[in-house]
Amino acid sequence: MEQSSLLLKKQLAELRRVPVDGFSAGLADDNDIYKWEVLVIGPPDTLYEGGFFKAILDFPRDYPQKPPKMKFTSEIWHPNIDKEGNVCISILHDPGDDKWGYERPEERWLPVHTVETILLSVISMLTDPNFESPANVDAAKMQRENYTDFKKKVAQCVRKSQEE
Amino acid sequence: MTDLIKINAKTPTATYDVEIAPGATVSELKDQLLTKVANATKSQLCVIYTGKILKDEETLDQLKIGDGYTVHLVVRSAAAPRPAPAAAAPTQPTPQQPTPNIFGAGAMPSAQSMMNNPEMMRQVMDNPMVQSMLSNPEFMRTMLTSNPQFQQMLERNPEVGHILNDPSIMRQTMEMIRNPNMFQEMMRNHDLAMRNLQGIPGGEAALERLYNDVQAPLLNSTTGGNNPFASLRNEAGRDRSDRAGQENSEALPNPWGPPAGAGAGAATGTASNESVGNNQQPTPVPGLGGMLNSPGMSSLMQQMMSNPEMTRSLFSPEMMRTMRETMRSNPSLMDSIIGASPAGQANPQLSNLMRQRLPEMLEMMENPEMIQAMQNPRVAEAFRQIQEGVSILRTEAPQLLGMMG
Repeated sequence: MEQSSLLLKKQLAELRRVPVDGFSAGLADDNDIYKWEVLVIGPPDTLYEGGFFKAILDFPRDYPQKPPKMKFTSEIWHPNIDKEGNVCISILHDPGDDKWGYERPEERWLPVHTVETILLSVISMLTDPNFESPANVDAAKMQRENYTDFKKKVAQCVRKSQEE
Repeated sequence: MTDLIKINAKTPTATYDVEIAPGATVSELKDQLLTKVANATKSQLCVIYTGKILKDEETLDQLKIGDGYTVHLVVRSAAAPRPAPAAAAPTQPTPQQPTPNIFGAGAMPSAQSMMNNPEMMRQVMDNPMVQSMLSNPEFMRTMLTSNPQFQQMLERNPEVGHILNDPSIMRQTMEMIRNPNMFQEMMRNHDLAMRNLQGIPGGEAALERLYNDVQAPLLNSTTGGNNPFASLRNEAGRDRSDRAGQENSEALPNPWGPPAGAGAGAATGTASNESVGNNQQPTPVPGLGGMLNSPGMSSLMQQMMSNPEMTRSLFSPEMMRTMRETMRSNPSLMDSIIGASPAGQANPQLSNLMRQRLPEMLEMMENPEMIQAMQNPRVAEAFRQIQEGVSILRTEAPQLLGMMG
């Protein structure tokens, strides 16, 4: 069996028994270890509190050499999540040097990362958006210039996620 | 019957463990959890496992949740029910005065409903005018000393009097009203300090003395239900005194997580407020809301309005100017005050009228003669009498009042 699937099975079993605060993870399809379904619980004391945001983690066969992709399937309005739901954080970027020179290699994907460390980064991203490299420029702009509207929009997403 | 399995349900702040049959449904798991989670209804509980929100009819063995497993538990905040303010309901016809006066008959219920709504309270507290008022120790002193409940407490516990002479304590108290999180943080720090003290030889005795001298009278003074801060002592506070003398080995409450109810309630309160634009619905929040709702607090408001001296300082030119400025620069605040007042809610015409007349009112407040008149204690007294009269009319002969309106 491939190293990647062994590793993922191990992480999955651990998370099933003792889940980590703030998110819950399982398989989207019991027969496909490379496709995970994650539910991110809106972190307390943030605009996202009360929301249950669904996301899919897509692992490559050469995991953990290469990072998984994370995509929210619930609508979520955030500067670092593009409008298709793709999460844009440095640790999910392929390892190596950034061709634009923004990110240092150690901020990008490293094989030591696990589902847990990825999700913890995502939760901290919800708490503290990074304005430097917004994936959703409109959301970033709105947060800076019209915070009231931004809050409203996030609250809508939170409500919607509760109904799903 | 097979052996029970142990399941841990983890919320951001606490972990509850229950023992349950392996074939039990999620619904049965929730029933078990309800016995442990304070102040929650079944529909508020949300059990999450392997990336899914579990449905009531699913069973644990289907889900492969075994002994010693942990699931996530989220206690949703209660859907904000609209509390029917007792004061406003039976007394519908509020007289429509020619020029609606914010300090007239409508003002009292509005103050009360304002107190019910923490978000609005925060807005009010953040208002520069209110802040300048509160940072004036002299003003606060008059306000507190003329409150009968506070006087009573002072008579019984003269040592508390120094609070009045210390503006920083006052400020802290006000900050506390504005910010429930800060209150919790303060409590946490106190708990920590207490625990450290208990570890020192002789510390126990010092604590006991402290308790007898300060805390006991303070707590006793809350039993009458007259103390505005009484209801701040929620569940956790109540057993504080019972625990006296025992070592506190419990984990400190996590200041970042919403403790059952309060935090979560406040936050979704905010979210639901957002949905209705700026028109807040009073959202009940256990603790803070209770305190603001307490008879003591509302009487404080009432007495603030009926004290001529207080009214005079309220109407001082400086105060008027800031008030005018805030009202003009922030029409939405005014709008939400009007919208949230039970009188306004019950009577859309009245609130519309008030909104329309807002510019006129602002103009009126700029008129120096008007300001002078308002500063006249006898005018204030007259206002008070009118208000009293209207409230007597309202209770004694509501029909009559309806005719006039």
